[in-house]
Amino acid sequence: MATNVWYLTVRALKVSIRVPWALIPNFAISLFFLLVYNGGLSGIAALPQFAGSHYIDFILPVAVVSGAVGGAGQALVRDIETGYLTKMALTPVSRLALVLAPMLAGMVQLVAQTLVILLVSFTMGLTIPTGFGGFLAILAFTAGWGLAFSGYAVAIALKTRNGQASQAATFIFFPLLFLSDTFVPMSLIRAHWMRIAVHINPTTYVFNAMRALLSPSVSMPAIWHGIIAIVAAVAVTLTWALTSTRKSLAARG
Amino acid sequence: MTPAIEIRNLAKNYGNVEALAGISFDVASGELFGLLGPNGAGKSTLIRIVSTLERADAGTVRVGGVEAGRGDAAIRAQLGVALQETGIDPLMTGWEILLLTGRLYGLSGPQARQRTEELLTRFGLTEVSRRLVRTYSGGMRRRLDLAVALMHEPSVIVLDEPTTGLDPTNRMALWNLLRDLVRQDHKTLLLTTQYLEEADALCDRVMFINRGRSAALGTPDDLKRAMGYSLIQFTIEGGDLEAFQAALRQAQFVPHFQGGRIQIFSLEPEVDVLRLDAAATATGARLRHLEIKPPSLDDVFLSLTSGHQEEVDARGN
Repeated sequence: MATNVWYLTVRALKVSIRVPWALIPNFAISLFFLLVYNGGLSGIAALPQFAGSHYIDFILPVAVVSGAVGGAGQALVRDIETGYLTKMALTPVSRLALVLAPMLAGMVQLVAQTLVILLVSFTMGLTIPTGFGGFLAILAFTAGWGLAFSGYAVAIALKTRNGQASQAATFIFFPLLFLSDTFVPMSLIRAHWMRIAVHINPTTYVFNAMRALLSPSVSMPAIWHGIIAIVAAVAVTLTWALTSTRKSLAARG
Repeated sequence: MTPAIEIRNLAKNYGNVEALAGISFDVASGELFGLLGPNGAGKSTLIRIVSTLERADAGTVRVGGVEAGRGDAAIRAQLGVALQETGIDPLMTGWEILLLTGRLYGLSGPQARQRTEELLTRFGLTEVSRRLVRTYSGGMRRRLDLAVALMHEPSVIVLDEPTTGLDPTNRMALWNLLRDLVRQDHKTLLLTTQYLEEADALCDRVMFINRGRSAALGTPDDLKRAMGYSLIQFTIEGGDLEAFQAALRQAQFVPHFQGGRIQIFSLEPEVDVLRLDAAATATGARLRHLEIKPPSLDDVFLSLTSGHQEEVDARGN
């Protein structure tokens, strides 16, 4: 099982590198968010609610998380359309391996992209007070988020079996990304409904875990909440993707 | 001896559409068995159920004695499947696809490489093996798809319309490969086709399926003989075509229009030719290019399925 997941993940990554134009939009979104929000909003970090931190520490997690759109889902839709998924389903490979491979490939893609975003951020003055351990922990959160979002994209791809529908479904990314303490700390959000949304949204906990790692005084509860949010999200999306597989393979292609 | 494939009372519905309506047959070990039928007859559904990709609503499928739904993994291990749409990734090379398939079937690295090279040679793909599949011709893709299905040396091979879309040269080449698989490698082969000449040329036995039911089963020769009909074929000259058609109907003929020709199945061709001539004369037309032929498999097919298209049209309306 583990070796099959490995073969299929390597294959998915190899193939995704062969369509580099498909990798560019995600990276561009990430970089755009980093540059534009930091460029346009960094002045507000002077507010007392930011407690003296730099705005780049605050916005970097948003840039990282925003890079997870698309990817895995599009690759899987391609496999459905070419019939290759069915071909793989005819081998003794487990359904779990078929679902996990594109998720892991999506995760690796997000981590690789985040490394570049981090490098760019360093040139913009980012420092990680928690050191190399903090750097690795940020990547670990990125990987977890990548896995969770890829699971969602894979489930949608299996359900819809259609490129445009899968693309449309990534719009969930807007509420996930913006119904949160995306631009300012919770204490600056005035609307009551928005505050409720922020609390419900799992992305909030991922943002704040990463922010904790970028601040000089690490808040352990924030990190634990981040871990719980990611584990729960992965559990939900992976289960959904798995239940969609059998149905999708049974659908007439 | 256990049949290679055993199908009993297989039924499958998609909503209100009855894809398979209780079909039964056996494919003997080492046999080349053909399923023939028009589009929508249920051929692909049957193939998907035999391949464990779908479950039947009722009935059983056994491959090598193993029942589908109880031992799917064991069935997959002895089955090589190529579906109607080739299932190969255009962004991989032929070499990569074969090698990966070998690994997924549990072959070691060296084993998978050796088998990949064997298959590439056998299917004439060695030269293009390092190129991305998207640069392959239709014939090459079909051959690669078949090679993928054979990677794990299955004893039973199931192919859904393997030659659809191929030019005559590639079709002949694939026929030879399929014949070799059965004659030399002693594989069992179940294939579907819409091409009657293909079933005639390749298959030991043929089953016609229509609307999810078996319409006839036997060797191609048996089926042609069992028809008992001859085919009267002609064109007409002069006269009023509509009046002639009305006259044919009145005389209880069921004409098929094939291009400019008119075909009629007949049990007593000598008598019917005279009646046809009378009908033509009465409407001011004359019969031309008259032929009386023993039926081909095409004719068997046409006589068994001629109601089908009209029914599809009626349902559509």
